[in-house]
This record gives sequence, structure tokens and C-alpha cells, in this order.
Amino acid sequence: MKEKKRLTAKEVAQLLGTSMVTVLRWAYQGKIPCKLKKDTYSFKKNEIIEWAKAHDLMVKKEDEKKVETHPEESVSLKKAIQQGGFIHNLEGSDIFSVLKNAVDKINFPEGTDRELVFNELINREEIASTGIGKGVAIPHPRTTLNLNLENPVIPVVFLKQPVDFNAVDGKDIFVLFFMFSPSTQIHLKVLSRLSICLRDKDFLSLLKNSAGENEILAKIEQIEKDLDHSE
Amino acid sequence: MSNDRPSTPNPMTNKTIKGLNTRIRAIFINLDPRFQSTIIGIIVGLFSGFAAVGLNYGLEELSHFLHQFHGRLYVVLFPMAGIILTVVVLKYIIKDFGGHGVPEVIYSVSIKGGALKFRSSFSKLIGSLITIASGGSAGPEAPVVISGAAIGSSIAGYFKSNERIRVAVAGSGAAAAIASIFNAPIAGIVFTMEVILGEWTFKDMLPVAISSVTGTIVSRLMKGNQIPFTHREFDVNINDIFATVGLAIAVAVFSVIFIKLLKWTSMTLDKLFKHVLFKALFGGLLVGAATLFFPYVKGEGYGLVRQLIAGKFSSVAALVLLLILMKMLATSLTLGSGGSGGVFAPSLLMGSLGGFFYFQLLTLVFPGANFTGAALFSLVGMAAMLSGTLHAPLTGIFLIVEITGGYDAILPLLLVSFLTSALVKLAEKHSIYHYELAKKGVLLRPRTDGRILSEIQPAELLETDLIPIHPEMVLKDLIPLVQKSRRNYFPVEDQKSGDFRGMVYFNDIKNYLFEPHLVNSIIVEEVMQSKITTVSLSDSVGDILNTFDTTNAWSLPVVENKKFLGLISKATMLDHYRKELKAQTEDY
Repeated sequence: MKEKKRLTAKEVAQLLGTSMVTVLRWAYQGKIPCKLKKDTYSFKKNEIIEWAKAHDLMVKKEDEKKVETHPEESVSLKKAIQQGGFIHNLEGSDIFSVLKNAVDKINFPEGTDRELVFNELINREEIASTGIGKGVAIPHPRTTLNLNLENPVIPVVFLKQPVDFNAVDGKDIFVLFFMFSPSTQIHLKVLSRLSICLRDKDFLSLLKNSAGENEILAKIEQIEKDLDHSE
Repeated sequence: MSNDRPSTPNPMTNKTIKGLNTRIRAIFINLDPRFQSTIIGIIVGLFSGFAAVGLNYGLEELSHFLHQFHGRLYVVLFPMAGIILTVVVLKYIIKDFGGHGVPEVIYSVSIKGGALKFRSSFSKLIGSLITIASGGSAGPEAPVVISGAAIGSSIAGYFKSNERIRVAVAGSGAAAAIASIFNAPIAGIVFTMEVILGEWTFKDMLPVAISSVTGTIVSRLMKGNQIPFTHREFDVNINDIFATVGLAIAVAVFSVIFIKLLKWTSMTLDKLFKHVLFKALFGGLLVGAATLFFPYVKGEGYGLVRQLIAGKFSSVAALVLLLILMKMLATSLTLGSGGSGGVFAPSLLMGSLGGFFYFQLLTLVFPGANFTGAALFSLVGMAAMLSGTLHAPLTGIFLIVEITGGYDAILPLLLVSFLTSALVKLAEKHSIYHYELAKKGVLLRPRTDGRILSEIQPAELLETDLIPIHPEMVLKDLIPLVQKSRRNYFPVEDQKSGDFRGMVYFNDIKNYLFEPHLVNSIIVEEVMQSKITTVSLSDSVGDILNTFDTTNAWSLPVVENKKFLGLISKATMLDHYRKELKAQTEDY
């Protein structure tokens, strides 16, 4: 036996992109096709769709209701840094040589155009310095490079000697967090997390004293845990 | 649908028109609008009256002339030659081709403020003279309607009357046409209100009434106070009234068939023949063939209608049915292949034949019953057919009452007219005049959503108090701008070219503004939305609203030649919409 499911006012409201109260009012005023049974209005889906078409009203499609343009997924700073790896004692006396040497040393996927990466980093650096203060810099390419990334990758590079990056607070840079992300959105998310980490005094001192990689990662994990819990 | 506005003449060219012209104009322009419309109404009525009488006379003389050519060959070829000639004259010589008359007038009063080309005041007259006289199946009413309307529109344009008056006098032209052709002033007024204007506003009725009366006077003076169909008295009894219900059903069916046939023929002819002359040749030939076998379908058909109303027609039911269908076909072919004329007269003929046919069926089913006679049913059938094809029940009623000179048939007339139009609307949503316009989405009745939207221009909605920013700006630089601006949106423009690159929404950046690390290291390019749907000033407001619906946005940037002009927001649109609706609502 075929079961013809009738829609409730709430479902019709969702279908038409309006409020349930409006739909109930239309039903009472006889403007919209419906059936009244025991004080409840029910509607037939294809009647509603035809009615909407005749009145030039839009009907929300099934998938439209559920899809959000960017599903909220959380990014993990720790994972990104683990993926990127650590480099210590990088040589370089100015922005150019530092970036150049870093690009050479970083473990990019096979066939990556290092020249392009370097140019993009320089391009971004020229618009505004990525030295965000307290000796930390966050170089990243100006445009999202096609590195076939699914998740962000953040190589951490400690310099042999501090270099002037024109940072906002004027301090020389001693550590760089290179940020490679699949999209600008993800880049901003990771950046936010990193910024929160940098506000932590303990984390900063770990960095300054070139602590062990595990210690640094552990600290990041802890900060991220607190963050995820409070969200 | 783009915005189509008639341009007003440049006042500077007045300087070249000297003397009487300028003085007359100046006097006129300063008159009270009601006086203005009255004067134009009189002029229009005179013109339409003469046009109607003239066309009538021309048709008589020309068909008389062509009648001397006897022989089958002529019968078949004349309609074709007529249609081809019509097409040539209208398309290439006068250059006013296309449009069947009445829909053009309706379109003009809905969207173009009553603007019609001056040449339309004579082009369709000439065209239909050729088409109908040579045997094409069409009516001489529509040409007079558009002629009257066009003259009214041109005069209103010449005196630079406002749009409201222009619409009213275009309508008056239509009223005068019907009034003078049928010696039926009320029908003329009702036709204009019911069909052309689509509304009954008493303010505008003055010029319509004046021109209707004037047209009727002209017609009476020149043709005498006669009616195209002789006055007859009918003795209507109760059986007739019941029987007319069935008539409504029968005529409703005929109306639907006619409307569908008209649409289908037009569409098919367009598909088969890309070039108008070939279409005219083929269609005309078919019309000729039809008139060869069914001479009654020739021309406008008033001769047969007179016979039917006078009760002087007799035939077999099956033949009558065939005749009705052939007339439908002949009319569809004539008009579909480029002939000039209207559907009014053919509808009258079909209706009266339909009534006759129904009566024959009735006497078959109820042989002993007492009915007044076939003539009554023919008469009522006419009103019913008009009602069904034009969706104009009142016009049908008043026309029949006025042309029979009597009130006798009013009861069946009322019943049948309204019944038929209600029944037809079940199958065909739009009348013959409206379906083309509805198809193009330009059938806009006053104070409807579509009409209001068509009147608002996007430029009226543009909001420009936004502060532009560059992609290379650091977020820190935005802080003073955020403080200064009353807006939460910032358009991003390329620093060198000024091209629009995207929008920055405050909502997206507010978290970063409070992070000292981030506010210095994030640039606009990294936070802007670059894949935004934009709209243009040349889009219609209706289209812009659809864009709002599909993108779920609350405001849309307006970009022209890659440059950002401003925003259009849904909220402001509501404000404007309400104001427009209030401005359009009648004041009494």
C-alpha cells in the first residue's frame, strides 16, 4: 500500500524558506492548498511545489538545506607542524638568504617548483612583513600554491643568528613558521591557533631556548586541547 | 527583460519650430490634465471614427474590384498575393511589421507608458485592407484599435503629456475604434477597460468615454445610425435560458480549440519557414485553398453573421462544424503567415456559427421542445466566443446588446458570457491577446508585483557610502576605516587599475582585529571574498531579486566595466518597493 506522506507546516516553511507561522496564516486565509484535520494543517508536497511555481516563489532544494559552504572542521596546529618538520641552525644574514636557504632545505613534495615557492614568499613579504613580533615570523606564499595539500603543513625553522625582518616590534627574528595551506580559509584558522600559542609565555620561552621538538609539540598539544574544550 | 523607456523629445529642438506650433503647444501644456485628455480624446475619437469608416469603405470597394476576377485560380491565389503584399509593404516599405495590433497596445500601456509608433496609426490599416480584401481571414477591428491608440499616443507625445495621460489616450483610441465600427459606444469603453487597460479607474475613464462618443458620432454621421447587424427582437423563454448553459460549454470548447490552433499554427509556421516571404507564400496558399472549398471563411465574415442573426441560414450540422473549424484554420493561417488583421471579427463569426451548430444539436436531442430559434443562439454564441477567446465577458455582453439594439437577450447573454470565460480559463490561462505577452513575461497589470518591480530602476537603489580598500592593505590599516564607516562591508579595489576585486565583510575579520599578532600580519587579500556574484545597473530589478534568492545574499555589489559602483541591499529594496506601491495606488 502506497503511503503518501503529507508535510507539516514546519516542513513546508523550510521548503519555502519562510516561517511556520506564515505558512499557518496562509493556510487559514485559504491562500495555500492544504487539508485541515483535527486542528492540524497538512500539505501535499507536489501541490505546494506547483503552487510555489504559479506564484513565482522559490522552493529550496533538498541539498541546499543541508550544505554549508564550508563545513566547520578543526585544524590541528600540532599535526601541521609535525608534517612540516623542524630545521635548526639555518644560515642567512637577511630576509632573502634566509628564505632562500629555507626553501632549499624544506622537504617539499617531489617536483615542487622551488623557484616559484621562493618568489611567492618574497611577494608576500614585500607587501607587509610577516614578522609578527617577539622574534617570530610566519612567511607564507602570496597565492595558494598548488602543492596538492589536503592539510596545512608548517615547517618550523630556527635561525643560526637572528635576522632583521622589518617586524612590527622591530625585534630580530629567530624562528620562522612557514605556512603552507590548501586554502586561505585554512591558513587563517591555523594562523589563529598559532597566534594563541604565541601568547603563552611558556611556549615562547620553549621556542627561545630551542627546546626539544617533542617538548614544543607537547606544549602545542596542550594549548590546543584547552582551546578545543573551551570552544 | 531590459528596461524599455520611451525617450522624451529634446526641448531644445522647439526653437526650430516657429509660430503657431509653439504657441499652441505652450497653451496646451499649461492646461489642466483633465482638459488635456479631453481634447486629445475628442481628436482621437474623430480620427478613429474616420479610420473605421474609411477602412470599411476601402474594404467594400477593393473586394468589389477584385470580385470581377472570376475563376478558381484567382480565388486560391488572391489571399496568397494579399498576404505577401502585406508583408512586403509593412516590413520593407512602411517598416512597421510584427505585432497583431491589440497585444501591442496592451504591451505599450503596461510597460512603455502608452508609447506607440506614429506609423502604427496607418500601417496596420493599410495592411489589413490588403489582407482582408484579397480574401484573407482576419478582422478589421484590431487595425483600427491600434491606429486610434497610436494617434492618441502620438498626440500625447507631441503635447508632452505625462505618462498617465498617454496611457489613457492610447486606451481611448481603442475605445473609439470599437465604438465607431459597431456603433456601440459602451462596448468600446468596456473593451478598453476590460482588455486594454486591465483596470477600472474612474479618473482615466473621461478621455475614454469622450473618444468613444466622438467616434460613434462620426460613424453615425457618415454611415447613418445603423448597426452592422440588423435589429431584431427576441422572445426569450425559460427553455432558452437553460439551454444556454450547454451553449457555454460548447463555445468554451470552440474557444479553447481556436486559441490552441492559433498558437500552434504560428509556432509551426515559424519553425518551417525562416524567411517571412516564404512563410507568407505557403500560408497564403493554404488560405487560398481553404477559401476555394469554403467560400464563407473569406474576409471578415460579417455577411454570414448577418444571415445567422436574421435566421436566414440553414445547413447540415456536420457542415457547420466543419465550417467553424475551417474558419479557425483560415484565420490562424492568415495571421500566422504574416497577414494583418485581428481576431475579433472571426471570433464573432465562429461564435455565431457555434451557436447555430449547438442549436441544431439541441433540436436533435429535444425535438419537441420550444426554443426561440437558431438566431438567438447565434447571437448569444457571438458574445460567448468573444468572452472565451478574449477573456472579455462584459465586452461581449455590451456589444451584443448594443448591436441588436435590444435588451431581450440579456439573461442568456449574462449567463453564457461569464460561464464561457470561466470554463475557458480552466484550459487556457491567458486570452488570445495575452498569451504572447505572458510568454515573454511582459504582461504586467497595474499594482502587481511584476509591474512595481518593472518601474523601479536599479540606479534608484544604489548605495554608495562605502569606503574602498586595497588588497595589499594590512588589517591594522582597516581599523580607522572600520571606525569611520557606518557600514560593515568594504569593497576591495585594485590599487593600480581600480578594478573591483572582492568584498571584505566585517564579520569575517572581527576576530583578527583584536589579535595584535594577526592584525599586523594579515592582509586584505587574504580575508576578502573574491568569488562574489555581482549585478549590473542594466539588470532588471526582477532579475536582481532572483539573484538575491539564489545566492542567499542580503546585499549585492554593483559592478560596471569592472568598477565598483555601490551596493544594492534587500532592506533598502523593501523600502523602495513599499513607496512605489503607495505611489501607484489610486487616490480618490
